[in-house]
Amino acid sequence: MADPFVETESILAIDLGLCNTRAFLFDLVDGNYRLIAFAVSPSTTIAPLNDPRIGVFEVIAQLEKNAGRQLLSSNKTLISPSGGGNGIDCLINVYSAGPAFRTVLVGLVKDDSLKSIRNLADTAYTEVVDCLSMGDQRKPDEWIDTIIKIHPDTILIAGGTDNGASISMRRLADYVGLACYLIPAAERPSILFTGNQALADGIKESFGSLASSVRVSSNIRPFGNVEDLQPAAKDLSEMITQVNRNRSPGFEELYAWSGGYTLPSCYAHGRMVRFMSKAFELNKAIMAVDLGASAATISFGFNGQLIQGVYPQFGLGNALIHLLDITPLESVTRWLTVDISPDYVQNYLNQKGQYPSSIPVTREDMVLEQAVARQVLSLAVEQLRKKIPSEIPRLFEFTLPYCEPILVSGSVLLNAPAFGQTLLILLDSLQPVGTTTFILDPNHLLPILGAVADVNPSVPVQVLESGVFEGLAFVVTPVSNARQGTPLLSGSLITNDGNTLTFEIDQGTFEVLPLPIGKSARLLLEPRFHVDVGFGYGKKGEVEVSGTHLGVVFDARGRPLLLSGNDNTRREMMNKWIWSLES
Amino acid sequence: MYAPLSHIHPSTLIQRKRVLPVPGRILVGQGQVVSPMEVVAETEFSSEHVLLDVAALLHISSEEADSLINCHVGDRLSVNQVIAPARGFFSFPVLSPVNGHVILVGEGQVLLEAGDSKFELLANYQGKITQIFQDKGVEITAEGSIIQGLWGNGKFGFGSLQSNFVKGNSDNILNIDKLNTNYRGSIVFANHCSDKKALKKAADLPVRGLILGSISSDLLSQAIDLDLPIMVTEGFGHHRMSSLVYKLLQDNINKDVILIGNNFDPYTGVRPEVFIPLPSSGKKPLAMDFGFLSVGSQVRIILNPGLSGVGTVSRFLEDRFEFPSGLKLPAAEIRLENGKMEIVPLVNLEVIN
Repeated sequence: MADPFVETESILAIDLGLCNTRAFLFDLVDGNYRLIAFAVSPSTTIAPLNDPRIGVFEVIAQLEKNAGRQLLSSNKTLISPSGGGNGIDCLINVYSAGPAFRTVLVGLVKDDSLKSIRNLADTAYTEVVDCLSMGDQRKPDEWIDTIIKIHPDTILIAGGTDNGASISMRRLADYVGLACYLIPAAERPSILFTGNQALADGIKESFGSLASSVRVSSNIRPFGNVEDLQPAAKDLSEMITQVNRNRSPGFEELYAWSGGYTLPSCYAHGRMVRFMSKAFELNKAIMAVDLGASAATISFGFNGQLIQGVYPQFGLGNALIHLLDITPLESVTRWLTVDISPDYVQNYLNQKGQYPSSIPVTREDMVLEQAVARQVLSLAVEQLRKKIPSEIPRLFEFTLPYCEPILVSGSVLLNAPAFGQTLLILLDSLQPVGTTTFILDPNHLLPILGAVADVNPSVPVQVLESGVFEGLAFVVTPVSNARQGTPLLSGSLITNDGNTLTFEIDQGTFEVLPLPIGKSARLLLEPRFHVDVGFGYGKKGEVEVSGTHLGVVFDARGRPLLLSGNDNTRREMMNKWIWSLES
Repeated sequence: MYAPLSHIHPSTLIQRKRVLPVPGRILVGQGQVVSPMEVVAETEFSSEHVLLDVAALLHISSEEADSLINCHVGDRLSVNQVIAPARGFFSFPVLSPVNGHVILVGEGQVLLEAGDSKFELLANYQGKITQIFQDKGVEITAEGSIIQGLWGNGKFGFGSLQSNFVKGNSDNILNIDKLNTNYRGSIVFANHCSDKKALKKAADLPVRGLILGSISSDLLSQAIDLDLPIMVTEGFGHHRMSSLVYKLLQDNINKDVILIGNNFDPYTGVRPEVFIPLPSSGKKPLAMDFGFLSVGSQVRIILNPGLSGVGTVSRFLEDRFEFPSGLKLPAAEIRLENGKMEIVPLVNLEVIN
């Protein structure tokens, strides 16, 4: 493979997911990078094939057909550099397939370094199986036995300010070292230390043979209340990639093909959101939601600051088997629009968890799958919301900050039979406020662009400008504590072709004004004095709106969204909302 | 198209790795024929350790403590054996709180491993040792009938196969009234279980294992806790055992069967399975590890509707098919065993081999 920084005209990008492997071909068209072709094929990363290359060869073969371009030679090596209309100049990979990494967190102080190291763990495909800190009631030998029993893939250690006190931190590291010593050499975890830098050399030396790998990253809490996750998040993503390379020869070969340009999808997802939040200089945050089989990933960017949550426990694959251990059955069934017995729900979750690639065939199963999506997304958003700094503007503490736009990917969201169903899942679970545009990423391109930026920063910018995403809806959420039926908002939608639509929105309603893709309009909003649509209570505003699949949607159902406790009333109401969007 | 694969085969050759949790000793040789209950490897390990901070206990420096500690790595200690003597009038000697042996000594501390836990690795299969992994385990190659399941409770059992089916009863659930002492010591199969009392009675008799077509999800935690192996072949809820599985089990009634109730791990491909040893013919090819979906493939439906239905792929639909869920998906027409044709999404099929 040629040096990716030289002559990277054509780029092949592979996304190794748990269920699907996707391939993307980017190339220059009239001097600008464009997505030339796309293909998708079932993944072969996990059993029984256990070799991602098989799925990759299959997806590249499809891509060759779609692009009319030969990419693989007869001996199944990539043709590179490109020439004569064939081959590519560079390959990049992102991946999300595989089980979450069993991770133990070790922090000096529970509400300080341990909290930060948890935030770090939330940026990667980790399953936090235990947390140890000085305040822990367990004795050191119990810690040691716990770590041996858990048999973690990774241990993340943080604590102490740079060049601050180190005795306690050293003691904690000693206990971890003892536990690692007692684990068979071939099965020892990888260690990431991201605490007091004065201990860095000692940590590297003492863990040298006691861990499968040791990395030292900059302190995530270098001083006081400052938390800086980014360098450690990068190191964590590299460490996880290294573990995958060690585990799978097929993955190692793909890594080599890419010349090292292989990133976890979630990391690349976050990077792209951070980039956009910086580049677009908005007063609002950018949010991207990916609800996949491996994990629910939410990346939240504000002026270049990234807050990320990667939640394998909320993925729609194998994690479903344990979903009811972390959320009550009623929290899922409350979202059902038809009567499905609790037993059926439990059985479905178990069955689907065993076969994550299976797809609902009946209407009832689809309703159930969407109910599950609402609940896991609600849980994921709730966890993320707690991590968002209070200085980022928001209407209430219990809501997300103002977002523009919200990017959406994940099979359950993209493949819903109707756009209205997708939007309702998102509105019910994210419960945005003010005005926001929901944008679909139909090919799961966002992490790919985040990874491609490493190779050529022009590619994501130019590809984004080419319109690879689809507008789902522009949503206005007037917030007020008025009674049902109280007028909240009036205004008009003036389309660029001169048509004007006026509207009145009452509390508790759900209204849609069509504005098809390709059209644009000015939206004038005049809220009553007790209502906020993002400009302040009672303040008027005007926004430019582009056409989307659903147009302009007014969600005046209230925040937080309250559902009736009566099953029939609730289902009737939810079905009414669906009809509003589908009619 | 590659597809998930379940082995349901009357006569095939399989290879299974049996690996110790920590390095140990291999007790069998290459080419040796082993039986399911035979120990193929053993090791010692304890899940309990004791860390004694002698320096802290004696209020002295770690260097001073090191000079007082009178045990060494590898020493076996009995409870209350002196590890370091008292220092002065106002301290007590440091004693071993457990029977165990010394793992580490240094920096004023002693790490002990408590107890002597011997771990024996059973063959689980009747077959021949075809590979030895030094200090770690063995590979066993075995010939026989195999039925792979969807869910297992992590236990292992061995016994004579008995049916809990009653002729003329289409339901054939594992019923408390049907379980009697005739089943004691047997591995019993039935269509379904949704009765906690029936599970308990099976464990109390005791039977040596249960093979169920389906199980209600609310019984799973009980099933995990029971001290008998359980394997579910089709899934969760109330589904009949697929006819293929039923027939193969029915054909082997009264034979000795091995029930390995592994937890299904979709990442590694480890599945629960029933294995019925057959005399080695020496001619069988190894069972394939993966399935390929093509016209004529024998398949099983893995999600409702029609879950556990078995048939063959009659044709692939050229265009995506719209299902009642509203989704348009690549699909195949399946000829079910009763002759009925069913259109099923490709992703909801599992190849049977």
